[in-house]
Amino acid sequence: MLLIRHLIIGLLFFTYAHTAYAEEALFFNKNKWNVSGYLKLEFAAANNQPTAIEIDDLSLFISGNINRWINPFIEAELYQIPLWQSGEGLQFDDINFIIERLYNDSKLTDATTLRLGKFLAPVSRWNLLHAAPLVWTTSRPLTTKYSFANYISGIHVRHELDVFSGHALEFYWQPYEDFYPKPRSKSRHYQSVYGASWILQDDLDRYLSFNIQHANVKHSNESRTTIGINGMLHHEYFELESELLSTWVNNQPNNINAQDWGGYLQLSVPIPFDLNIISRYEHFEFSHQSQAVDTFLNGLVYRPYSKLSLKLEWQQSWGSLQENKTGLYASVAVMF
Amino acid sequence: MKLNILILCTSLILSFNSWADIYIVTQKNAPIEHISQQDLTAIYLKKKIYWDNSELILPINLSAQSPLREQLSQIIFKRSTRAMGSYWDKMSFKGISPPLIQASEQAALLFIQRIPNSIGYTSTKPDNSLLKVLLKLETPK
Repeated sequence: MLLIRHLIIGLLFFTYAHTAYAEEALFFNKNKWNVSGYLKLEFAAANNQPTAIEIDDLSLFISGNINRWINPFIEAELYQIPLWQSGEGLQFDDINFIIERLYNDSKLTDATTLRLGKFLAPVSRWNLLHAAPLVWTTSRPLTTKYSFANYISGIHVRHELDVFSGHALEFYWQPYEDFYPKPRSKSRHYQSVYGASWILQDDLDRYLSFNIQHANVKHSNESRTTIGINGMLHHEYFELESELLSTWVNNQPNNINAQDWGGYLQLSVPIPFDLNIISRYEHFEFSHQSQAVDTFLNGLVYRPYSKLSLKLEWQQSWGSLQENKTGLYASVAVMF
Repeated sequence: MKLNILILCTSLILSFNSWADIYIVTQKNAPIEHISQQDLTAIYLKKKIYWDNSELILPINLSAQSPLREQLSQIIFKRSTRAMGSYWDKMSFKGISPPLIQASEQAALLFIQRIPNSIGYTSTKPDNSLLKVLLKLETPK
């Protein structure tokens, strides 16, 4: 554990030092290899839970742009590393590791890309951009993660219809089970998944996509069919984003409702001194619970430049309190 | 005091006038003769990554502190170099690296001269038979 502690402290210093060099990532061999990553240090004081500080997560990704056919990408992540807990003191007794993404991109034509390997499911924009420095809040809406397969291990084809607007179609298929699934009891694991995404707009100011996914849950007869819509609007004085999703759940023995469904609306407003006010409301209903959860979040984010953000937020939940616990959350997120 | 104000005003006027035109340049034998501003924007966002002959485009940027880069950013992205940082962070997370950076205009021109399929920009029209201008972005004076 001493080695882990030294490793983490070393990485924290490296992260802090390298972040100062703003945009420039680590390039090797004339832009062919790019090494980057991010770190999130989180403080959580949720109701009826011990106050805790942990690293969740420390991620490293390496991408290569070799030629038209060989463009590998790997993201390896250490996550849920407890550092301190009230009543327990300092802790360096646990560490989790996962290969988040591992794939190769091949350009079949100028407009069509074939991806083979493990990648993020294009169901939710948040899921595609979930790195802590890229999102506005420490806590993640249930809509963006709960009811569908977040990772796909298989094949993905993207066809660009218009490079200027970002108009594109995506199809994917996971024929067998997940590669290197996240070993957490709360996560569902999937046997097979297929889906599609229609991205109507993806530019600097706007994002709009429709998504569909069908997934068979591993070791059960349960299947899940999800449809969703994602949107983002960026303006000089605000950024508005929203996701709506509905998942029909079949053959789940404890079903009370036919589906999980939910959505959130989030507003961020820049104010002076590199501060941003964040406000979010989310409603989510579960197929296996009679009570929905309503969550209201208000927070403040200090982002002096894009790679560094300090977040402080209060989350208030009503209804089912299994998820989205009421409490104070804070985090430091850096990209390097 | 009056002298200070005069110097300040003169500096401001000169600084506005010092905004030069921007020349978009590539190698003489590149498979393109002219580029639209829309194409240029797509290239510098790494959305358009191939020339018409399917060769990979290699866009070259100046450092984030460069006034010329700031000027280009304002023209083609309608936002500052700093504001573009979050875009490149998102792209980096998706495995797409930002344009390669050269320390100066001279270094960028030398790079473009030597490396096929590269494209860059400069504040003065290059007097070099190995390079050609694809577009002149005229800045408000």
